[in-house]
Amino acid sequence: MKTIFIFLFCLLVGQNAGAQTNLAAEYGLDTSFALVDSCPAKNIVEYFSVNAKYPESSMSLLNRIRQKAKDENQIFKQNGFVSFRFTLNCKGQASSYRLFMLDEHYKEIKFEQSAIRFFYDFVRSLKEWKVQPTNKYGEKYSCYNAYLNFQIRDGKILSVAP
Amino acid sequence: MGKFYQWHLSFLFVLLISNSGKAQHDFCKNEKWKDSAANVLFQQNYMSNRWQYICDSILTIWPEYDYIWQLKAMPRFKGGYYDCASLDKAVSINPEMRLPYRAFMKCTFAKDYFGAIVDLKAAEALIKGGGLMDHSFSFYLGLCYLGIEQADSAVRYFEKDIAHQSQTMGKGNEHYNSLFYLGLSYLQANQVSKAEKYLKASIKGYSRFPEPNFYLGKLRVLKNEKKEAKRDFEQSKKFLLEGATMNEDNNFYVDYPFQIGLSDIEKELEQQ
Repeated sequence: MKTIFIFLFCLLVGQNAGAQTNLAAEYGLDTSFALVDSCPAKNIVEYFSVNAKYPESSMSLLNRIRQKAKDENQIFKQNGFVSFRFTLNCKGQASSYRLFMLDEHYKEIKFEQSAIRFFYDFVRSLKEWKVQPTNKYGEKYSCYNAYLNFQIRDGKILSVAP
Repeated sequence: MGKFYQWHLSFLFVLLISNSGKAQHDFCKNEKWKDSAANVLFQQNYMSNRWQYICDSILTIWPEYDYIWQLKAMPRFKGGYYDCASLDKAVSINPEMRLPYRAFMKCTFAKDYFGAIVDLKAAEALIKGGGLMDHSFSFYLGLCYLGIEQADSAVRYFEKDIAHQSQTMGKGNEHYNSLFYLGLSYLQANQVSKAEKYLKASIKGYSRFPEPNFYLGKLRVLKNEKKEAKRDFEQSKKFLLEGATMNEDNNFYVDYPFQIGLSDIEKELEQQ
């Protein structure tokens, strides 16, 4: 009986839970998971649970991506946020990309393909992700989720998060 | 106990949708049920889908429950998807309680410094001398201006933050992060002697703080004091490798403006 109530409860009112629109497939990002046989993707945690923020500072990443934009004459015509979420496997390889985009008023938009490709290439170039990090109790995790968010304003990359 | 609450809330929900208008009215007005519903939520992992489902469920019953709108947005911000619509809703219901939080999330998590400045100024007008997460609104305004490279405005707000701390907690008890950011703002404004004064004051408050040691090194480079600069960079590296950090609660999730990593120090050391 208890299960039925919980089921009804979630079924009736849980319809708004997945409000984010993941546009990774539409933009041609690799949405598959780089599976390693020896460590199946289970118990995936968030990067902050295992102290696995990317080791390079956001300030340094911002400087590097600004330089890359300059070198490649990359032009940004839209304002807003481009966010890549992905999963790191037990070898520290990023895969299973998800893509979310918002304008400066936090409304969903679609950025130009060239801008997304530019950021995606940058994200994929980062190879220093922690491998099998541990939580504060010393428990090791083979896979974890992380993200990188880029904010664009007036044609300039304003910030990189986290 | 958690299972009991789950059952309890599910039962109440079914009861609610099947009962008369008066019963619904009484139920919705009862603060005890709201607390009970929130307790169900707190049993969950906030990054799980179930957290979102339960938020939605509670909000279906109490659409004006501002705290739940805030709790719905929180994990999404932490996961890199900035669900500002939920925060907007929370603010529209209870601006005094929720506006400071939205400002904080924009400033710290989304690094939307322009958006945060608007919210922080509105929050300051609404709650004079207010703040959140251990810091005043002026501190966050300083961070935002530093983030958009308006050093003079950053200096103004960090000065205000420190003056307030001196007044309320006594001189010499100012927060080392406030002192660090004031020093950094002066450094950006090319006021080297004031920058040095505040960076040193920050180190006095927290000697193993990597950032002020690092920026003191940068300052010494400007003054052509190469030997001292190298010493500062090495100190900063040592503290960072020992695990010393900025000591901000949300540092696990995000870097604060101008926070450094090992590669920043290595780069400076290579140039010495």
